Amino acid sequence: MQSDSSAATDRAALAGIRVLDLADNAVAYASRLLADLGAEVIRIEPPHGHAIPRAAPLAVTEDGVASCAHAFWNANKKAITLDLGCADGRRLFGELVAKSDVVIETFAPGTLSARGIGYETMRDRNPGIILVSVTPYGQSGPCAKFRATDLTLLAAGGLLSLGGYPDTGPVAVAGEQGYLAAAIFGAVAALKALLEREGTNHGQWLDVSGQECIAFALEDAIPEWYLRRSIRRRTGDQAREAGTGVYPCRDGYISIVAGRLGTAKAFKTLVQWIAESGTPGGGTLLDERWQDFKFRQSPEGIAGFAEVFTRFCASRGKQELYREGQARQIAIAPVNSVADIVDDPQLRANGFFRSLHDGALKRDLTVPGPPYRLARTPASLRNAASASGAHNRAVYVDELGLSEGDLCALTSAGIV
Amino acid sequence: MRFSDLRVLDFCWVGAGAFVTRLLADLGAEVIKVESHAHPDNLRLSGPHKSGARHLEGSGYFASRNTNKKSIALNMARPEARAIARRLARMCSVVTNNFRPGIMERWGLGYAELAAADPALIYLAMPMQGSSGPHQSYIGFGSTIAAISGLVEMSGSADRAPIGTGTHYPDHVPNPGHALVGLLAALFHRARTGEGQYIELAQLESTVNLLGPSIMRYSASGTLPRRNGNRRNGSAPCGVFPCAGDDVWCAIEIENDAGWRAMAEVLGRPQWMTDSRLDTLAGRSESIDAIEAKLAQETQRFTADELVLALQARGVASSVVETSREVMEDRQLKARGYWREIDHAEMGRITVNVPPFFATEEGRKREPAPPPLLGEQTREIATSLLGLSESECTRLINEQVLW
Repeated sequence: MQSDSSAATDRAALAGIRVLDLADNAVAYASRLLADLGAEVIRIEPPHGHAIPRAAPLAVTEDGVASCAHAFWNANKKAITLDLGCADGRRLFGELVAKSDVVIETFAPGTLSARGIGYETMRDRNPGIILVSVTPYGQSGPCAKFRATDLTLLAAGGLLSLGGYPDTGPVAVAGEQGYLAAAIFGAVAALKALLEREGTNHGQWLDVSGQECIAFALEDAIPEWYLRRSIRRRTGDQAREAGTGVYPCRDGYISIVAGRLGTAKAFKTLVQWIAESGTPGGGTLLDERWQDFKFRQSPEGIAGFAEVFTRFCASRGKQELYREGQARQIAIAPVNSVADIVDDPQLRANGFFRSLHDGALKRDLTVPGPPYRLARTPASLRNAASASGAHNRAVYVDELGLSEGDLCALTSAGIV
Repeated sequence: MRFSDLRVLDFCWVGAGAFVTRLLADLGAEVIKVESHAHPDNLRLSGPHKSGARHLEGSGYFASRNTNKKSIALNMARPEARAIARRLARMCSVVTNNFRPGIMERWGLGYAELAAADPALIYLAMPMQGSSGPHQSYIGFGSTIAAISGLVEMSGSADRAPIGTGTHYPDHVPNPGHALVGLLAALFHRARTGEGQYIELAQLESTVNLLGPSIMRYSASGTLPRRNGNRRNGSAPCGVFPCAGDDVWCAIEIENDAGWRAMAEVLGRPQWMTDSRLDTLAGRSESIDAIEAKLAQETQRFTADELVLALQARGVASSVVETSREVMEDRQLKARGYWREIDHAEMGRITVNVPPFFATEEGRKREPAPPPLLGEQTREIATSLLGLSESECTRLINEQVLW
């Protein structure tokens, strides 16, 4: 496992594109995606510090403590500090905008304008600038200024209502998926505008709503409501039909889809497998009624199948069920832990994981590779996340042409 | 580059792939969906269906993922249909699929073959686990990919079975979203250099990427994420709380001590909330179970809407846990024109969403076109694009090639 060489940016899709990253939380992933594709991303943090470098999950070792959120969301980026609250800071920001292509920000709607650095001001400096504003509810509408977190955003976008146990309340998916959904579409929006700018010098201001991004994940729940007036609710640990769901096994859980559309044959193969294994009650699954889709969705079908299948799985491990099931063309999968996934034979065989050195922890950390493989312009993981202000000199002196003395003065004034 | 100059030959079907090309179509690209009566898109067959509409044309789920596309019926089991597909591919500058590895190649539509004729071609493949490696032929769905990735195991209550999102989540946002990022980056590279390329998004890899922070922590310290319900680090209380009504919930996250005091005001300063030990995050964290149980008693006195409005008025992060119905009736989404009612030839009025972003200068003027009927544009594409005569076209339809 290695990080990719810095030469990778030469043949990158976004070579020569400069992005200013003002994003909070996991929305910082938006510009991370662009950085992987070769953009020069300059993360701008306030001089008095930013929350991400202290954000969970924290790795605690004998050598130190480090935020793995920061390490992951901000890899491949440069980092500078700048106080956008004062006139000198805003002037410097304007100079950066003049030399950049994209700005990604997550302030509450109206914040940038109130500080005199809104889209119009940016556009005056640079007509080609692309401003991507990623906020919980978008720039307009009655709830635009509502306060949100990942959890409340998942609630507002409807996804939270689909997760959780029927007998207790809704439970949200882990890992800040709400912010990440907004981040991914933020990157899509930036690229859309970059494409449309090609051959012109006309930028855009993109309004990305986190709530709207999450509402993309509601599956069939929307047509269930408008066509059938049925509200889909959480089913959690209870299977929605025989052969589909999460079931316990010897060393954890497996997830399976057998019987739904396109997998009817797999259900037949599955019950045959169970029957042949000699599992008590396995033979009953060969009864004709188990081939009836309606019966498999009835409470009796769901419970009857679960009883036998759980018995079958109890003596088998999740990786074994995965291999054996897949060999029979049944979509079984292990409910992996993070420890399992870093050992996954497929991901290892394809060299998916990379390695980045963490200075604070003094060790190499395993990092997932980019989510896609672009054959000609591969995304690459080149540099670990930078410490706050690590590139102040490189950006202010080398790029903007400030003198060392200017930088010193700005630093002591607390602007940089 | 204008998206309207882009023509896409789209073999994507079912979940993840269909959303990628829907977004391209939403942005203005001409997307030609290849499908067949001989082997219809599973989403056409899965419900919910509009009663009264023909079965293949009545799926609301299919509609949600295929707005703005055209459809050509091509029975790929027939050599003549494959030849037509290859001709069509030469007239398109993007070709997409989310089949198992090997299928496109078997049809003579693999990247190598197509790129030999058109080096500027951009080709997106979205296999489950990649086109190489020991699990390349493994089958799966969004829910099983979520399980393998680790996302399911991390989500749920500590003392209960893991549950994930309760959906095929990777199909809905991470995989189509990432695929769009890769595809648009490749389009950008082509716009600048004229070079096309092959893009592969292994759905498992794309989903695992979202777990980056947890994977890095595990490699640093061996620490594994714990299922922790709705709790979040640094916030207390944090969760969902019942409100007046049947199975109505409100999500509330108290991010700081001021938020705690503000919530106490909203709830009418109940005696137990004035305990000074609860004034700090540390104090609240210490008895978090008891606090959240008591809070659940308080919130039931309010309707979810009035509670959220009162909390938001004081800057407390909160939201109704919106069901599908509430999301469709949500005043914010309505004000922003996110849901659109459009007319469908067989289903009548249907509701679809538009992309979750827009250029403020343009707004959301573009009205989505309904999803195509199966093969709706077959004749149009065969005659105007491929130059077949009407009679040739009729023959191919009758012989179930254009079928």
